[in-house]
Formats: sequence, structure tokens, C-alpha cells
Amino acid sequence: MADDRPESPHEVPASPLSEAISAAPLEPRVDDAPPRRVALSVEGFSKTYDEHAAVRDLTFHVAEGEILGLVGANGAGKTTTLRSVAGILPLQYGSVSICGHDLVKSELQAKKCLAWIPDDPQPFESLTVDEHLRFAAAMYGVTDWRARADQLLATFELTDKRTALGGELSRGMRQKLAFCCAWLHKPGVVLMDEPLSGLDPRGIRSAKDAIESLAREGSAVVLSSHLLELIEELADRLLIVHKGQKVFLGTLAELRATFRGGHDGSLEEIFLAITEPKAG
Amino acid sequence: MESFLGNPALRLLMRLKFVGGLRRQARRLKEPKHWIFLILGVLVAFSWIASVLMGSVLRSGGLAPAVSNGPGTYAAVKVAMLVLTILTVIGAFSHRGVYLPKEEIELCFSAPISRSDLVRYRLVVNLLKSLFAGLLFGVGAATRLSGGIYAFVGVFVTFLTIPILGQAFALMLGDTENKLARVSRKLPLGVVTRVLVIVVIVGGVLLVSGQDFSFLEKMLGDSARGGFSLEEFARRPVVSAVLAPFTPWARMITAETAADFVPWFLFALGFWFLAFEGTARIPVDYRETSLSTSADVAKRLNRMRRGAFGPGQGNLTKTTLGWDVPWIFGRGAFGAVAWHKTTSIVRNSRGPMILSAIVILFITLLGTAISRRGEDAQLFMGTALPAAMGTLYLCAGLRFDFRSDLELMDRLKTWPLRPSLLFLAMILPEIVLVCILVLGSMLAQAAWVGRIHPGAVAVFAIQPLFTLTWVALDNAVFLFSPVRYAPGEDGALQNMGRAMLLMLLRVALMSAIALFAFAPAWLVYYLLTDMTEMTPGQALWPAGALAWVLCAAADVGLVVAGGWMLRRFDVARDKPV
Repeated sequence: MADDRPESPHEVPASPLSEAISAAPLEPRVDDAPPRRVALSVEGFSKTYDEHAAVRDLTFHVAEGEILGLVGANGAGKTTTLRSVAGILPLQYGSVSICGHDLVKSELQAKKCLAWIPDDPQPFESLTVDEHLRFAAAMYGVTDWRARADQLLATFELTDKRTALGGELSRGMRQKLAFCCAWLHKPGVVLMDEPLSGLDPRGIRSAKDAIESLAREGSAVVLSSHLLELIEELADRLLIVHKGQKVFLGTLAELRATFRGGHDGSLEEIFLAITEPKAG
Repeated sequence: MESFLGNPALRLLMRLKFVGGLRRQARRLKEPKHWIFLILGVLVAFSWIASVLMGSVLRSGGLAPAVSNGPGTYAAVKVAMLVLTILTVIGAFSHRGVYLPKEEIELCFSAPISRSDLVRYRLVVNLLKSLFAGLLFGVGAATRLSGGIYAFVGVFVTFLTIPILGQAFALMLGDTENKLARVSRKLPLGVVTRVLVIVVIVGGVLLVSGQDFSFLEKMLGDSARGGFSLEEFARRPVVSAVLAPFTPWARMITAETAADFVPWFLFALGFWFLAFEGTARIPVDYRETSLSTSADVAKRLNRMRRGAFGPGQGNLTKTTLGWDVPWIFGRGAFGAVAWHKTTSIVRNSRGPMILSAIVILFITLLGTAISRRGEDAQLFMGTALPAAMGTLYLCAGLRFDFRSDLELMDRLKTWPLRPSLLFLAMILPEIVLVCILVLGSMLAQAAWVGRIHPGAVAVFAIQPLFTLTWVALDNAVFLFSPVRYAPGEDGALQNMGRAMLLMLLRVALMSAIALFAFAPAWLVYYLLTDMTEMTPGQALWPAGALAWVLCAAADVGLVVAGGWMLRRFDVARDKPV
């Protein structure tokens, strides 16, 4: 298993990541990039519900401009992890640092740097698309938001839906609106839980492009999805969790090296092999 | 930055939601029918408020009664405040933490908004919701208390204070629950709670009564004689201690001069500010309890939309899941649909079923008591009255029909069954259940009394038909206008207007069916008694048989009409609301 610990609290060495990326069929985005700062750091995170441990001792770091794919079966603890990192659930054990701000000690500063996109975004039924953006700008203290809002609306083909009410939007449009609101303040860390569910093919293409461009702008992205092709296509590194525990953290090439002896195999095949229930 | 005014983004949200609400109303009014619903709703609401106020004015004989507020009024205000506070505290049990609707909760918890600001936001929302009640009760108090304007302002301020206390209690309750949760897993909490409730009730009674129960007998006796004195009751040491915290508000509400009013008013205002800010600053992490409260409220709203006593009301339990439900309506498509519905009733509706059984037991006892008086007329009344009451109660109360299955309509429309048969299969289990309960009650009563009136045969014959008429008509009208409304949703006035119109439609159709079935029967009865030598008793049977046949024919028509309504139902247009 790869050790992802940075040498200093907010820096990751570029070399292992670069090597891994050049070996994997991913865009070598950071080949010659200088060492990047860690935007999201999760250390020893655990969460229990009643007596059931949903997540156990999870540690991972995501650098600026990096996309981390969070993969696991239903009930593996992905959503619990993301909701705790987003500050929706209280942090029970462990620590989370977002853009250098501790989530418990400097909660508001940490959250200013964060964007959360749930799997089923619920817009305000009586607010228009424009008003959603206006409210998001007010929440994150973005003063000059109109131009960026226009750009995001155009990216997600919502320009002609400006005056539509939240209650009138389809599932896919609600998802697109959530993207626009979340990215308005140029967040340092973006957490996405099944972000492409409900989107049509064009919407999926726009969302993928937008996620990549967000990472290029320097945001750290954690992308949780059951669409393993999407993770394979977008993620720089993978975090596989199974029954609340980290099973693997590293690049796809490292995953293949660890579980396939370096032979080719799709993420889906490897994931199924790792998480296969043991006989007996 | 902590400020009394709260987070600017949340203030903006409140403004936007207010404007958005008005805009949604305006958009709804594009169709004329919504105007009609609104006007009717306004009329209904206005007449209700006017009747409350006018009743108050008439009872007191003027806008501000000349009679001075006595100690009885003062005690009554305190007791009313105690009751209101207890109700608010009980309400806090179901809103532990801070309640935020589903569209706000994750958004606000992940945003850079402090928890204190979120509490302030919720407090303001709750206070805005209390404005109307404050105004209404304020005007009511002004008409009944001699202080007039002082009573109005006092009641208004009080109504804006109690929700703050409710929120504070909900926050502390959530915190206690979180802390206890770690320990409670190892404790038999169910037993502890029951014991505590019993101890509190018994303790309360003993305390109030000074350890003897004679006060209850006295109170009941006095009350029956009209001699019960609230003032005397409030003077009991323990009651007086419990009511003492409400003194400033009671003084403010019952004040008759400015000099009496102002000090208590200033105290109440100061308390309001302190309570508001103090509640916002309670150092509690309410996120987990709020998430669970929000999910509970969402579930409750869904259940309310499905009808008050529908199958969705109960929760599936391991016991009910294990119950095997027989295919009593056959093995074909019709039988399968009816079995599906029966299963949902049996496995999902323990609460409504137990409640119905209790009501029916009560009705059976009532019928038995009437029948046992011995005379023929009383024997018939003892059978007919409970049968009518039971049928009306169960038909109106049990809603195992299309209301609870509106979400399934697109699936339901693909089932291979003629719409009229599908309609019948969906309502038949409820009809059979009502008939079994009511007719079972009648038989039990007959067995208990030891005899049965011959007229009961007519009741046996007509009861299933009446049940079918009621349920089929109710469902056909519902499918015609499939709107489910839960309290607190937008468009309350329009819904009120719509509900009134639909009720009138149901009454009109029921009257038409009654006319169709009973007018010819009455004619036959008249002709037979007038033109032949039949006695009224003999003529009653053919006339009754004709009424039965016509009623059955009307029911067939209703089922066909219900099928037509089902076919007309458009899953894209009539989506569940």
C-alpha cells in the first residue's frame, strides 16, 4: 500500500505522483510542476453510529490541483467521510484540515475554502436559478460574482433557465445548478458525492470538463462515484474504502502493481477483486 | 462576526424566500380556477376569524369590557401560559436541535455560517410564523380583558417569547440526548422512560393534591356544580410555585393602566432580547440531532400527505413483516392488486388498525348499553346507531386508498387490468375491512344481548353498499383532483378553497345517489300502501329491495366512473403534490 504522508504538513513531494501519472493513462498535468501544497488533509478519521463503526482510522491528503477518486461499495463509508469532512456531521475522531485551517478550531475559515456537492441536491423551490447564485455569493462573501456566474451558467447550459424556479428544475438541472453554486467562490477543496447522477450525456461531458478545469485552477477535488470509468478517466489518485477502512490509496498504476503484479486490468476488475466477499 | 441581526446571507435568504413565496402564489394564479380556490379559501379563513372575534365580542358585550380583570382572570392567564409553555416544550421533543428543511440543512452546515447565526435565523423564522397567532390571540384577548390595548400587546409579546423558549429547550434536549447516547446504549432506556413517566405523573398528582386525592373529587364535583374556582386552585402552594415564573407576563397582559403595564412590558422586552441572544449562544453542537430531526420531519410530512390514517402511517416491524397475507380476492390480476393492497394495510398500518379496533369496541359497548334497555325501538337503535357511527368513522378515518399510492400511479397504470376493475381492486380491501369491523361489531353485540331486531337485517344489507358508495365516490373525486396537502406547505388558502369545493361536490353527488336510489323506492312504497292492501310493514320490503338494487346500480356506475377517472389521471400532469 502506498504511503501518502507528505514530508511537511502542507506539502506533497511531486515525484511519486508525477511518476505514477506518467505511468497511468491519465493527463500528465503536473509533470514538471513544483511541489504542491496540501489542500485537504484528513488524519485518523473514524466515525461510529451507535455501535457500528462506519469509518475506521482513515488518513489521506489531497494536493492543490489534484483529483482524488473515492471508491467503495454501498455502505463502505464514502458519504459519511465526505459529509464529515464537509462539516455536515461533527468530526468524531481524527482531524481535518482544509486549506491549512483546522475544521474544528477554525471551522468558518475552513468552510470558506470548501464546496460540497451532495448526490441529490435540493434547491429552494421558490427561488430562481439566479437567486440561488446570489445567495451562494452572499454566503461565501463573493462580491463580484455576476461575471463568474454567467460563465458557469453558460458552461452548464443554464443561461436560459435563469428565471426558472428551483422547484421546476429536472434532476439533471438541479445537479448543474449545484455545480454552479459550489464553484462560484472558486473553492480550494471540492467534495462531490456521485456528481454525475441524473445528468444527460452532454451534461456529463460538461461536468467532466468543468471538474478538470477546476483542478487546473488549483482546487483539490474529492470525487466519490460508482462510475468507475469516470474515476479512471479523471482521478489522479484513488482511495478505495471497504467496510469503513482504507484498502488502497495511490495511482491506478500503483493499484495495478499492487493487485495485478503490474498487468493491465480495468479499475472495475480490480475493485471487484478487492471487495469480493470472502467465501465462508 | 457574531451579531444580534445574524448572518447577512441568511437575512438575504429570508428575503428571497419571502419574495419567492409571493411569486409562486402569483404564478399559480395564472389559471382562473386557482383564483376561485383562493377567493373561497380567503372567505373560509375570514369567516372563521370573524366568527372567533365576533363570538368573543358578543360574549364579553363590547370591544373592551368595563368589568375589571379580577384575580380569576389573572390566574387564568397564568394557567394558559403554563399550558402553552408545556405544549411548546412537548413540541421541542419532536424538533430536537435546530430544525432546518431538507434544502437548507446540508447547504447551511457545510457553509461558512456559525451555528449561532443558524439558530438566530431559525428563531426569526419561527417568530415570523408566530406573528399571525400572536395577532389573532392578541385581538381576542383585547376583546375579553379590560386592559384592551395592553392585553393585545402583552399577548403579542408573549406569543413571540414562547417559541424562543421552545427552541432553547430543543437545543438542550438534543445536547442531552447526544451526551446520553454514549451511556444509554448500555441502559434499558425503554423501561427507564416508562418508569420515569409514571413517577412524574404520580409525583405531580401527589404534589398538587398535598398527598391526597380528594382535590380531584372536589374539583370534579365543583366543576359539575359550576363552583370550581381556578383562582383557588392557583393559590395552592405547589401550583402557585409552578405558575410564579409567568407572573410578569400575566401582569403585563392583565394590566389596566399604563403605569401597571409599562414596567412589566419593559421586563418582557428585556427578557425577550436576553432569551433570543442567550438561545443563539447556547454552546451546543446540534448538527447530528438536527439532521435526524430534519429527516423525521420530512418523513412525517410525507405521511401527512398520504392521508391521516393511511398505510404509510406505521412503520414496518419484524412482527408484521412475518405475517402471511391470504389471497382472499382470487389469484388473477384483480386478486393480485387487491392482495398487494391488503398486504400494505396489514403490514404497514398497525397504529390505525389498533385505533380503529378501540373505536369499534367503544361503539359496540355503546350499542350494547342501548340495546339492553329492552324495548324494540331501543334494540333497533342499539344496532343501527353504532353501525352508522362505525361506518362513518371508519370510512372517513381509514384511508387505505389512492391517497397513499399516488407515487405508484405510473407503475399502477401499466398493470394488466381494466381501469374500472383496477379501481375496484384498489378500494375493495378497505371496504371489506370496514364491513368486517362494523358487521362483526353488530354480531358481537347481538350475541352479547342475546337477541337481534329484524330491522338489523336491513342494516346488514345496506351497510356494505353504503361503504362501497362512500369509498368509491371519495376516491373518484380524489382522482379527479389529486392534490394532497400537508400543513405548512405553500398555498394554504387555495387548498382550503379547493377542499371546500371538493367537499361540496362529494355532498352533491352523494345526495344525487340517495335521490336516485330512494326516490323510486319511496314511490313504490307509497303506491303499494295506497293502491294495494299491503300494510306499511309489508310494503317496506319490496321498496327496500328496490332501493338496494338501485343503490347497487349506482355503485356499479361509481366504479365505472372511478375507472374513467383512473384512465384520465395523467402521471405527468397530476404528479404527487
